[in-house]
Amino acid sequence: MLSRFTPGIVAGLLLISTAGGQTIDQYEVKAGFVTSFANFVEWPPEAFKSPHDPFVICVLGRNPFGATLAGLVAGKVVGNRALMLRELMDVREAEGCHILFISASEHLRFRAILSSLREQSIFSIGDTNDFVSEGGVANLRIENGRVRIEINVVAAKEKNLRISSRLMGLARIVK
Amino acid sequence: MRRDRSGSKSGKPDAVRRHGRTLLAWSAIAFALPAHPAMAQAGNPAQLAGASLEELMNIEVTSVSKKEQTLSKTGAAVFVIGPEDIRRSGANNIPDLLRMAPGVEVAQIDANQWAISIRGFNDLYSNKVLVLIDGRTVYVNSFSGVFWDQIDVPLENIERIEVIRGPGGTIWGANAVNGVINIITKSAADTKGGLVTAGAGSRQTADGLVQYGADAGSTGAYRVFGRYFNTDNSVFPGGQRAADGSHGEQAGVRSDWAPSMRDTLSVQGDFLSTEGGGTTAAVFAGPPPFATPVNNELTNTSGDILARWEHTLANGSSTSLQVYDNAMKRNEAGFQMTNNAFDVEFEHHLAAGSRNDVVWGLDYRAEYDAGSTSTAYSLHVNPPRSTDSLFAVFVQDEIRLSNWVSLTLGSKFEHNAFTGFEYEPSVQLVWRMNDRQSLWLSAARAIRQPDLFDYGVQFNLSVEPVPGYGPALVTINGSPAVRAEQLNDYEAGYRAQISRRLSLDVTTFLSYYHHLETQVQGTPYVTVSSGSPLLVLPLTFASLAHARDYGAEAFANWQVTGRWRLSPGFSMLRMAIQPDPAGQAGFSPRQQVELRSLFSLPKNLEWDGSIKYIGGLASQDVSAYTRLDMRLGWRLGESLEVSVSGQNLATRRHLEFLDDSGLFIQTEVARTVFAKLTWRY
Repeated sequence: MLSRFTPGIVAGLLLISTAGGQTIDQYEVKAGFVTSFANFVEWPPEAFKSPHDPFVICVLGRNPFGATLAGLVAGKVVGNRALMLRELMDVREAEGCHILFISASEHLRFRAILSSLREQSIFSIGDTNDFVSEGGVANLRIENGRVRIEINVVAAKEKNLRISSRLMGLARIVK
Repeated sequence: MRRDRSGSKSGKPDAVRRHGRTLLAWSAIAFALPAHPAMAQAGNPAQLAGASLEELMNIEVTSVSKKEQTLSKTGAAVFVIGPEDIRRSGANNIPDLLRMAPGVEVAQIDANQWAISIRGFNDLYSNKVLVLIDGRTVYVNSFSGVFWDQIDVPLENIERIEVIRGPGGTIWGANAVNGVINIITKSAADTKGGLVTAGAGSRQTADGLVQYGADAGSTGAYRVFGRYFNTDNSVFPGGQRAADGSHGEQAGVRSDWAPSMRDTLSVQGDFLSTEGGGTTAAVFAGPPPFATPVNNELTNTSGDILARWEHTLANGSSTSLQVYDNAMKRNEAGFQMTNNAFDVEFEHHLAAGSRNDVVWGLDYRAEYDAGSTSTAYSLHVNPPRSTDSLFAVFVQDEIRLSNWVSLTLGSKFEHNAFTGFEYEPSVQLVWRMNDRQSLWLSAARAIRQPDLFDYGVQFNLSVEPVPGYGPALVTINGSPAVRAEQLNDYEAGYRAQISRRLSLDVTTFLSYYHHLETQVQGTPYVTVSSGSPLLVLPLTFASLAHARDYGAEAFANWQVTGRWRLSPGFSMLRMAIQPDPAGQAGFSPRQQVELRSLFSLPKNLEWDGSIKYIGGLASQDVSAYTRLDMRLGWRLGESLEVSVSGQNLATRRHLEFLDDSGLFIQTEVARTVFAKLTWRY
């Protein structure tokens, strides 16, 4: 019975599949957001020690991006600063990071992590429902199969981060 | 396949495996899989780097969890039911949810009893599928079965259900013969805030849940919930109402902590109390007419408490220690059963060199049982009280032979109180043909260990007329000669990510069973214990049957558009049991075909449905039937959701399973509707 039907089913499914468009793994697109935020946020001067300091993107906890984020960062510059990626196992290593993606693997520790980042001008990004309400700066969440941005303007202001009006216009603002 | 109990952290990071080989034997499929230029471009970092924010916001994304991706790479047949599948199923209980998993047999016997199995041997309390909730076994070892009316987790709290078809003895030990059903609940970090659900329907007349979750300090979270439900009586085939309705109260708490980056701690507990009924073809040892259907009380009180500590060591290896206790008191058909299971498990997962991924563990389990019978009824177990211990150790090594071939070897070694030493080895070979297709092969041994009932039950099964004599009582008797039921299983599977939108999964299996439990006829005798002489025909348990089964399961996931997903599934099973006087091979459908559809309409409306054909049961008076379930949901913003669902819309009523033990007289499964309100705050 199976042998009689399977080729037909497979062929049928294949025919239909080629007609549809393509969708992409969420973390490939989220990696695109993480790197492009560098162009839409202004850090205070003290976030860089010298004019040639690199621009540092960090990932705290289990890196969900696979090799995608490293691929996006490699060889790129922001202004005249080289873009760099660092993976952290502890929030105490976060000094020097400009953008910090906090993995969902650290969900239970968000409050502890975010409160220890309070004094630092770090643009923190998460992708769980309550990330901005816990004090994170930006959240990437999926709605109807597309990535949406949420920004906590209070947290951004506390950290002296100036967010461009273009990014603000696309984001849902949380106060 | 690795056991994952917390659902929090997946294993090692995905290795980058790419190579361009295809196999000629698979040319039919391979030919139809041209390189997808669009996909390759979209995934290209250069392309993403150049994208504007607006462009990024317009890309449609898939959100398959890493855990699901890891599972889909194992050398075992796995189907994952995720939170979206659960929310949109319209189901009110776990048995109805399991209907969507291809190859799982779910048949309802009466309002609160189910026969659930995988790959055959289905029955009330079928004994070859292990069921766990967060790593806690809810299969009762001393009884060899699962009380599905006690398996009640608020569906909103389920992270996923992993349904593994085929043996899992190497990791999970005895009784994971034909499959494992792993119910994994959400971390308390994911259920913060309030949740209230309220529902009412034609069968589930009331169902309400109140839950609250919040942070516990800066490194933890907790949730507490309470639930009440009431299920109406169902209807016998003749149209008469049965007395099998039930109602229950449930409460639970879960707390998760991450005191450091390397440690997570989880503590949870549940309490459930149900009160219901069922109609039993009761057999009295007393005077004629012996067998009178009796409406019985069915009550249950159960509770559990579990603690788990996971620790990541500096070298990247990890350990976990889990302790739990399960207690229940169940009164069913006049038989009162008390069971308490204490279990402690340790597991260590380490990378040995660059090629070996090793996991090993230790397990100790003590189970206390007591059974008693009210005088009129007919079930006794000897000894009436006992405590049995189980010791187990397992080791499994996943060896990366090359970038595209991995070999997994392992075995469980255990000592149980009935048959002593047992071992359950397995071997799996996974070949990733390219980054979109994989092929796997496996061979495994698994056992079902005998239980207190196999050894010492005395059960009056039925009264049969003996020509020229009159009525005679048929009894079933346990025997210490019963052996462990054994399976030697061989499987092959194929998986393909045909495009970003379409995936396919096919498994075939060949299973050889030995020492299957049978009943042999003993010498008839006459008893006068009830006053008048009564002829007794004793049947005694033995381990004399063997079987050869084979079959296949296939399913696909097709994201037709961003708003519409179709999931077809198919399974077939051929069983040959020798000897098989009861026709057990005919207790399972020979094929099941299903199609699920999840459709997101504009204005936050959801229209979901499934249609499933289930083949007839050859040795029962159950003919093939088609179930049609449908759900219409409406999300009002972030916090409110309203849904109306209908089950069995295709037929007014149908039979799904006959319980041949006579413990519960089957009723029909009726067309039902249910309306539900979900409020999160």
